[in-house]
Amino acid sequence: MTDAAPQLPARSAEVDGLDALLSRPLSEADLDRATAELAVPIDLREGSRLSVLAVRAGGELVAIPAAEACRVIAPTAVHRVPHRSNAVFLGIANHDGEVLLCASIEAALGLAPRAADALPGAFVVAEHGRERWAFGVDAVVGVVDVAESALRSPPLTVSAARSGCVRTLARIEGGEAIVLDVGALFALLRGATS
Amino acid sequence: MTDLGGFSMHELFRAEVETHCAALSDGLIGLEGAPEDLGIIVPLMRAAHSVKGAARIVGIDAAVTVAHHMEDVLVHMQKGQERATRGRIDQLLEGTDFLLRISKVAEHEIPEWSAAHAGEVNAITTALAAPPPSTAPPVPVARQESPRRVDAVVQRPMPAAEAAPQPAAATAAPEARSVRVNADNLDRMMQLAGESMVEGRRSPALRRALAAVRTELVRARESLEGALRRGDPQRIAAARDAVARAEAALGERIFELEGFFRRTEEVSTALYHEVIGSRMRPFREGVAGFPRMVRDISRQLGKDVTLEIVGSDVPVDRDILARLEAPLNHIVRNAVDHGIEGPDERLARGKPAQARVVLEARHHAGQLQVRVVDDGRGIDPEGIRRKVVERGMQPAELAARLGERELYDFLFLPGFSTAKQVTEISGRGVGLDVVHQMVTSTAGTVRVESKPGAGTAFVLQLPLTLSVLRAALVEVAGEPYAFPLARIERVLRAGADAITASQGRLQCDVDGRAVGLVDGAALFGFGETARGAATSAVVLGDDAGMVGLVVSRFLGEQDLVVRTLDPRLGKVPHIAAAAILDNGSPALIVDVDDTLASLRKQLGEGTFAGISVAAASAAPVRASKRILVAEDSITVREVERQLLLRMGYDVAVAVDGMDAWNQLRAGRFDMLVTDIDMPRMNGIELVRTVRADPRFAHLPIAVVSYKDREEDRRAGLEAGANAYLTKGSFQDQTFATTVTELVGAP
Repeated sequence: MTDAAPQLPARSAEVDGLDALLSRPLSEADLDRATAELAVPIDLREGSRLSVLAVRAGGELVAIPAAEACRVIAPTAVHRVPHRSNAVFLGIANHDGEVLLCASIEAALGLAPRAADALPGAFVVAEHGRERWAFGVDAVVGVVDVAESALRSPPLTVSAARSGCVRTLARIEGGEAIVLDVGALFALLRGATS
Repeated sequence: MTDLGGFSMHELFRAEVETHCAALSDGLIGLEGAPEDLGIIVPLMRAAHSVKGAARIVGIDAAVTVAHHMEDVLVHMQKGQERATRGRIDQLLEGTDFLLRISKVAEHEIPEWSAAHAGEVNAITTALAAPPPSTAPPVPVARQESPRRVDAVVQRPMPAAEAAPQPAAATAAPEARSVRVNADNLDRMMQLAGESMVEGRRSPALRRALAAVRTELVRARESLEGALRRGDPQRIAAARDAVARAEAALGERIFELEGFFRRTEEVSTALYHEVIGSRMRPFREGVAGFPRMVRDISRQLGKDVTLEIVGSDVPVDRDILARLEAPLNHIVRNAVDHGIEGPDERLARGKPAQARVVLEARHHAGQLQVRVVDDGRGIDPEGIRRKVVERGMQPAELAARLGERELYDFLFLPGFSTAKQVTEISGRGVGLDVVHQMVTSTAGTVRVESKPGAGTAFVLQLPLTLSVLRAALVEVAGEPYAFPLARIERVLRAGADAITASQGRLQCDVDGRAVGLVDGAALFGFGETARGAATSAVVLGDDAGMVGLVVSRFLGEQDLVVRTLDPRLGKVPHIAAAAILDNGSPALIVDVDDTLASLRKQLGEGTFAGISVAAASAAPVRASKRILVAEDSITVREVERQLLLRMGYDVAVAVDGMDAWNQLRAGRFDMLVTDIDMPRMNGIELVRTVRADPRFAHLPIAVVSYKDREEDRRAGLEAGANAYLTKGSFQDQTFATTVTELVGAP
C-alpha cells in the first residue's frame, strides 16, 4: 500500500484537438437542430412499446410477442402421431435434433384453413415458460414494434371466436393484427393432444 | 466418490418417497370419495410397499414401520376385511404425512429425529394396528382425481398438461433433470466438441481454396479457347499447361476435402459414442445398498446370509440401472426371507449354515443379463400348482399338465404369492409382478430357474441401453415407423399367391403357421394401406399367437437414437418413442407389446378385424401412382414429398442423381421430379441418362430448380424433361398442377 497519488499520463496533441472540437461554441443552426430534436415527445418509457413477430396465417395478420417467438425455421416434414394428430395438433417435426410438437395455428384460432396441397412458407417456434410449440405460417412479416397506446382490446366476438387466445389487437402494416396470448394458446393446444 | 454415492442414495429415497406420498395422498382422497372402488387400493399398496423397501435400504426404521402398518391396513381393505372409513383414511394420511416429513430430514439427523418422534411413530402404528375407528363410512363425494390421474401426473411431469385452460398452468415448468457423468467421459466429450468446432472452422478455408481452383480453371479454359481460336501452338501449349496445373490443384483440394470429410465423420462418430457412453454407470452404483440390506434382514430373521456381487463394474445404462433397483430389491428380499432356510434347517439338509445370494451382472449376447441366485430351498412347483387350483386360476386337470416353467410364470401375476406367512420383509405378491412389469417395460424378459432343495435363480435379460435401438424401418400411410428388431418375429413380403383366406380374412403362411393380416394404417387410424402386387408385413407375436401388420413398404434397418415422446402427448397407443432418421425425418418407434395387447383385445372384442377378402378385392389392387423425388436438400425434398403425399401420390426419395438412377432401375415409378444441382450426378445428367434408356422414354419428368434463367430452363427441357419449374412454384398451384397434368390423378 502506498499513499502516492497516481501519475496521470501527459495529454497528447490528439486529445487536446478533440477537447477543442467538443468545447467549441455552438452555431445558431446547431442550437436550432438540437432544440427541435429535444422538442419531439419521448415515447420510450419502459413497457410503452410491444415488440412482436408478425406473420401471415389463415388470411390474417397474427402477432406473437417477440419475447415468446423463439425462432423461425424452414418448413419441415411433420410426422403424424397415431390416435393424437387432429386438425389442431398436427404431429412432430425435427429441427436440429429437437423433436417439436407442431400445431395448426389456423385451426387453433379458427382462421381460414390452408389449402390441402399448399405448404407453409415457414415454421415459427413459440416458447412460453419451458414449453414450445411450432406452427406453420404462410409468411413471416418481421419483428415490429407497436406502441402500446395503439393496442386495442379485441371485441368480445373476436375473443370468443379465438378461444380466448387473443391478447389484444394491433395495427401492423396497415392491417389489424391479432396479438396472441401465447400461454392461453398453449393451454388450448395441450387440450388438443389428448 | 463413496460418500457421494451414499448421499445420492438418500436423495433418491427422498425423491421416491415424495412421488409415492403424492400418489398415496391423492389415491386416499380418491378412495374416500369411492370407498367401494377396490381397484384404487392396489396402487396404494404398491406405493406403501415401495416406500418400505426404499426406507429399509437407507436404514430408516421408523419409516419402514409406519409404511408396513399402512400396507397392512391397505391389504385388509383390498381383501374386503375392513372398509375405507373416513377415520381410517385420516390415519393413513397421517402416516403419509409422517413418511414425507421424515424423508426430508437430513441424513445425519435421522437417528436423533427418529428418537424425538418415537412417540409419534408409536401413536400412528398403534392406531393403524387397532380396529378401524367406529366412524361411519364416508359419504361418497365427487372424486377430485382418480389414481389413474395420479399415475398420469407422475408420468407426465409437466403440470401444464393438466387440462385447465388457465395460462398460469403453462408457467409451471418441469424441473430440469440433472445426471451424473463420469469426469473422464465429460473431458473426452469436451475435447471432441472442441475438435469438432476446429474442424468446422476449416470449412471456409476449404471453400475459398475450391473457389480459387474454379477461377483458375475458368481462366485456363478461356485461355485455351483463345489460343485455339488463334491457332497459336505456343499459346495452346501454355494454356494446356495451365489446365493441367488447375487439374492438379483441384486434385489436391479434393484430397484435402476427403481428409476433412473423413476427420469430421471420425470426430462426430467418436462424439456420438462418447455421449452414449456417458449414459452408462457401473452396476455397483445401482446395488450399493444391497449388502447392508441383506445383512440387516438376515440378522432380523436369525439367518446367516452373505451377498456376493459379481460384475460390479459392468456398465449399465443409467435409466435401466434406476429401474432395476426396485425389482432387484424385491427379488433379493424374497430370497433372504423365503428362499434361504434357517441355519438349523440348512445344517440338517447338509448345507453350510451360511447361505449365499449371488447378484451377478454381465453382458451376454448383446444384452445385459442380471441373475439373482440363492442356494436356499428352491421353489416347489407343486406348491404353485396347488395354489393355482385353489385360487381357481386353472382347472385341476389343466393345472396338472402345466410344466415347471409355466408354473413359475404364475409367480409374476399380481397378488400371487406362495409365502405361507406375510411378513414385513416380503411375501405379499406385490413385488414380483412389479419385477415383471419393469422388465417388460424395457423390452426385456425375466424367468425363474429353480431346483427344490438346491436354490433358485431369477434371470433378467435387458437391453444394454435404452438410448440406441436397432430397428426395422417401414412406411405406414406415407410415414416412417420403426419396429425394434429384437421385438419382431420377422418381416415378410408375400406375393398374391402366398395370401390365402380363412373365414373371409386374409392370412399368409409363416413357417407352416397361418398368420392373420391386419392393416397397419387402419390400426394407427390413418385409413387403409394401398396394397400392390406384393404384400409387405411385419410379423409380431409369440407362441400365444402371431399377427402380420401390413405396411406400405420396408425402408431398411437403422440404429436409432431413442427420443422420449413429449410428455404432453401422454401414453400414445401403439407408440413407444420417437427417433430422428439419418435423413433428418422424424419417425415413431412402435410399442410392440402395447400393439399386440391392443390387437388381441380389439380382435377379441370385435372392434377391429383382420383384412377381409371383400375389402381386399374391393380395394384397388393397384397402388397409388408412384413418384420419385431426387433432391439433395433435405428441406426441399421433404417439402416436395409432403406436397405429393397430400395430393395422394406414393412418394420415394433419392438424395442425388445417382441414387435416383439406381432406384429408377430397381423399382416401378410413374414420374420423376428432380433438382438440377446435386452431387455425384446432377439433374441434367440424370434426365439425359433416363431418357437414353428405352424403358423410361415416356416417363414424365419435371425439373424443379432454383435456377430460373432462360438458358437453365432450356438446358433442362433439351435434356428431356417435360416441365421445368422453379422452387417458388410450391407457394402457388403450379407444382401441383404440373404434376397432375404430367402423370394424371393419383
